[in-house]
Amino acid sequence: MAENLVIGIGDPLRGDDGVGVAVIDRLRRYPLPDVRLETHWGEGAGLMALWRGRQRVVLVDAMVSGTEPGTLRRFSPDALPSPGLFPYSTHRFGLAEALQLSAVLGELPADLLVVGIEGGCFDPGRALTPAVAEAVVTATDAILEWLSTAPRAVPRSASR
Amino acid sequence: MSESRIIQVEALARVEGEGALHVRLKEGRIEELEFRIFEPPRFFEALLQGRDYREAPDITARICGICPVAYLLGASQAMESVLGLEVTPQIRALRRLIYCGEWIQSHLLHVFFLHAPDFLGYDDAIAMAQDHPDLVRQALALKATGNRLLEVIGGRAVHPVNLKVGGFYRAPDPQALEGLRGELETGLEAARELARQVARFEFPEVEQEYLCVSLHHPDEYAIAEGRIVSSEGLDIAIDQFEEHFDEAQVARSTALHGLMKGHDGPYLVGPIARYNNNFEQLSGAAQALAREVGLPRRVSNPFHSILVRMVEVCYAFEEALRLLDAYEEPEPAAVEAAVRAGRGTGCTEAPRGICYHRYDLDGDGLIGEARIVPPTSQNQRQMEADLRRVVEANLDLPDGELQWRCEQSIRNFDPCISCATHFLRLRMERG
Repeated sequence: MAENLVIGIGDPLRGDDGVGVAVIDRLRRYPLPDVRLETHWGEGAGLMALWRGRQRVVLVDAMVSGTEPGTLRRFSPDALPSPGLFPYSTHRFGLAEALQLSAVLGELPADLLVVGIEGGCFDPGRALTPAVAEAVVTATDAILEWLSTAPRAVPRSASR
Repeated sequence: MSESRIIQVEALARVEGEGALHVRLKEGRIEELEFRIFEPPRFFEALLQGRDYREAPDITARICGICPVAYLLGASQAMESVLGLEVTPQIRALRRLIYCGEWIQSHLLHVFFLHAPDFLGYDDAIAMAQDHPDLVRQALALKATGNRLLEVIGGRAVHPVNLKVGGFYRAPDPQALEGLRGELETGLEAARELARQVARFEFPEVEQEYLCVSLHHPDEYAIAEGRIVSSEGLDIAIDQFEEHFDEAQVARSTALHGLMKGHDGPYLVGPIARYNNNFEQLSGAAQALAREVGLPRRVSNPFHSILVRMVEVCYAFEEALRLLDAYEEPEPAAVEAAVRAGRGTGCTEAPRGICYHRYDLDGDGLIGEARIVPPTSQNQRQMEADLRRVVEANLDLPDGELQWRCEQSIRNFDPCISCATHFLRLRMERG
């Protein structure tokens, strides 16, 4: 079976931006022999290098869409997040842009789950806001469930 | 043409930071032309006051995620000049090697992800990748090699943590360093091929007489040290910078405008300035490549900047290999000296041009006044002068195309607005 890769994206020193890394920390409590856990700071080209050649990948990152902090959204290869949803820097080459570029280059993992968690506060040195900390549990459970299901059938469109 | 035309770009895309462009034309003449920077200022110089001198490299590195090495080294050199510290040749070589990594990753990001879409007629790199997937794939692979140089020597690709006043916290793992050789060798060939492809772009014809300001070193293409020179014969030590250069506040920009004292016009820093001032110091292969891709000895077309960047990328790959061949592990990894009071200056060639630092230290090594002059502030006046030239030469273009040409022209400078304002947080304020 193909190895699963889960990437938690963000900076734990920037408040809710650390939620992706917090999910990885929580996943480490579970025995997951076939799952590789990684953290990344969110620069698009580096992310693409991490998932290039992988079949089954989960990405989890803080999101800024204007909804309630702690809101969870799931994205798939058929419905990728729109540019700007996962702000990373003023260069605007973050997760959403990297996913789109990967799709164009045919490098997107066939089996992909993107979990966005709405952040509330990104101030340096702050802990996760309570709603976002709760979402860490929900997101972890959702990822565990996704990992326990069989890989998506190919062709893609047949599986949903 | 008698009507009024306004070319307005509220928030420029594909530049680093928050800027805007405003051009008003009346009866075929430019009435008003402004390149505006509206990012809030960041006050880095103020927050450095009272901090220990050893903190300055890491604090100032946070000014920019694309050129942190420029800040790490500029600040370190300034402190070393106060303490009277001379680094060993081994430390010096390792600094130049990591700087090659920064040039490679910064230039490739700009050339292929920000600037090439202008030349090939796409809104962004993602759209460009649909028709030119191999170009984008290759650029990503080469940029990754630049990042790996930063990782192996600096500990990580963004804001490296292994550089300090006096040298490095520890020497890089020799095996990891040697492991980069193959990647650098194939990278050099691939970069040359990419340069040839860029040479096939269409270059708008504009001529501009530039006053070029850069570092100059007699024995090497200046990156991390040298004297400050101009194409009109200026030749000064780094600590004389403020005798010859100044900054002025203008209402339309939260970044100060750089100017040369006793000189009315603007001046240029960055790849074209370096190339024009230091062509003789490029390697034979880089000079040959420059000729092959059609660059004249003196570049006066601002749209050639993208080609000069590619020549510098190839040179940086070649130079990284040369430094790897000659590598001797620095032992110790850093040199030290007792703290003393004084004023120190440092200046290096950031990917976008010279970046000047000056600090006052007291007897305990605490920072008093600090001053940082980044390349984009220095280029603002030149950017407006270039825009003026571009608009005048293209008045017959419809508004959409003229705006396109203006934006392409701003990107010739690869402006880093965040550096220029030293601004920390991104806040989008679209009008």
